[in-house]
Amino acid sequence: MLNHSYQLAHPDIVFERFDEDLVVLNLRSGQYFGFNNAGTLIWNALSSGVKASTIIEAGVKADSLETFLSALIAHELLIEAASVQTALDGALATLLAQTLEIPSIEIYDDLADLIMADPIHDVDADAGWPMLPVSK
Amino acid sequence: MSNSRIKRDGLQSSNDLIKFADRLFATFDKAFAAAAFRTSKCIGQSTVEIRTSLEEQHNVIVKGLSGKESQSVADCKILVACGDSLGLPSTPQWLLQYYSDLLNELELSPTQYRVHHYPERDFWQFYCLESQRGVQLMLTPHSLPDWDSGSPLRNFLHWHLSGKTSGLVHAGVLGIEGRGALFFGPGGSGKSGTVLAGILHGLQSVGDDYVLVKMADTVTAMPLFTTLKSDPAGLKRLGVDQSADWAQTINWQGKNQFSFADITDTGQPGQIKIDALFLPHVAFAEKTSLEPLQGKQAFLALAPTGIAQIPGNREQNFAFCAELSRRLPAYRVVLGTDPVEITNTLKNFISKMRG
Repeated sequence: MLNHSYQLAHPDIVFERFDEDLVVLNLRSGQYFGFNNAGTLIWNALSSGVKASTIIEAGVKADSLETFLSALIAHELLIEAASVQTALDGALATLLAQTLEIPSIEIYDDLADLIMADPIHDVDADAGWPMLPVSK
Repeated sequence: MSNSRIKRDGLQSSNDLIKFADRLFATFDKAFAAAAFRTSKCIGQSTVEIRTSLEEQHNVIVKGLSGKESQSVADCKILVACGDSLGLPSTPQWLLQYYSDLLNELELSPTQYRVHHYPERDFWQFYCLESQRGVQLMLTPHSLPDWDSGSPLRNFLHWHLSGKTSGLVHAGVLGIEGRGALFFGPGGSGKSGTVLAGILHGLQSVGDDYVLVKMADTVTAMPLFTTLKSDPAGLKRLGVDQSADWAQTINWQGKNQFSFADITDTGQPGQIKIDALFLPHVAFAEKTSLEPLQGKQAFLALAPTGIAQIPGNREQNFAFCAELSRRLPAYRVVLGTDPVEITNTLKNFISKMRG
């Protein structure tokens, strides 16, 4: 796993940066994912074709990288790429070396049902205007 | 007219959808010319001309769409019709057990077509991005989704008006003197109730559910629909007289559905400049308060419901909501229980933001 290069699993994966975090949407499954800063840096490297082993050489711990990469593969965000190897960008290598965080991935599964459902308007149960709880 | 005697096209792939759309739009001009009921609306900065041979649909559209009547040349034409009328093909049938807008739209995204289908009602919407023409094709004049009357032609407006700098956003708006905030969040968050309370207590609004947002040097929200909603208990809590004629219409959700004109003399302004994003939170707090919210959290509350509910161009909508969340300050509105106190707190906050 660590000696391979990876690429986006398909073109219907979109992501947006918010400060140091990343939010990723897999349009085919409807799942949203949130990465912390370390996860975002690793994602940037892996999704551009940098080998996992190169990221470890830059200073990221092998076990935390493997756990993170396994999650990316399990959630169909990355797949193995044909023998392509991209060099690790110098600035990204510095940031990876400096990060002390463990890469994390938050999964917002509850939104997948919404996205995969037919777009029925207001599918949520609606509590409406603030109601005081009924005291028993 | 017996529908069982009409031969209908059977479709089962995105390629079938494309072929059918080719045939459909080849008949568009003649059918559009033949449709008797016509209206032309100025929505955002577009002129949308809508024609139909169905009087009831015409009335729903004229009543439900915001925007002034326009005499300008239309940059978007939409035809609402039953299949096999006006020279159009018959309403097609989806042959597979399941229909997925999502999977089909991924296949259709490189093409000029956008398609929405609601199988339970044999309801179809086809839009051609290249010619900016759309057809809403129904099996019968009443083959409509239950929610359609509250937001007629919403998908067409999305396909036509959405781009890098503008888009339909699943949010309500409140403002004062032309400046305000977008209110968003999932069902039950208090979005519609907060907007309605604000309108009833003197704030401006361009909508409580879907609005058109434009990002240029400033961010502005413009109205799309004239309708508002509230559950009957919510109206009661807001002290609204429910004996009025307008309060008798109950929609598919069991909510009252009414229009701006029913509850306010000031109507909908043409636009409101947006200074912030507000995420209401039903908290039964003693007093309403606002707490700063991170852009990522605002985005995760703003983007999903709109992306889920509006078919097509979801990637664009995702990027648009992200840019909106990065650009504007966001706040969680911890709601109190008194509509007047809530409105006054929001009024003060919005006034302070504009400096």
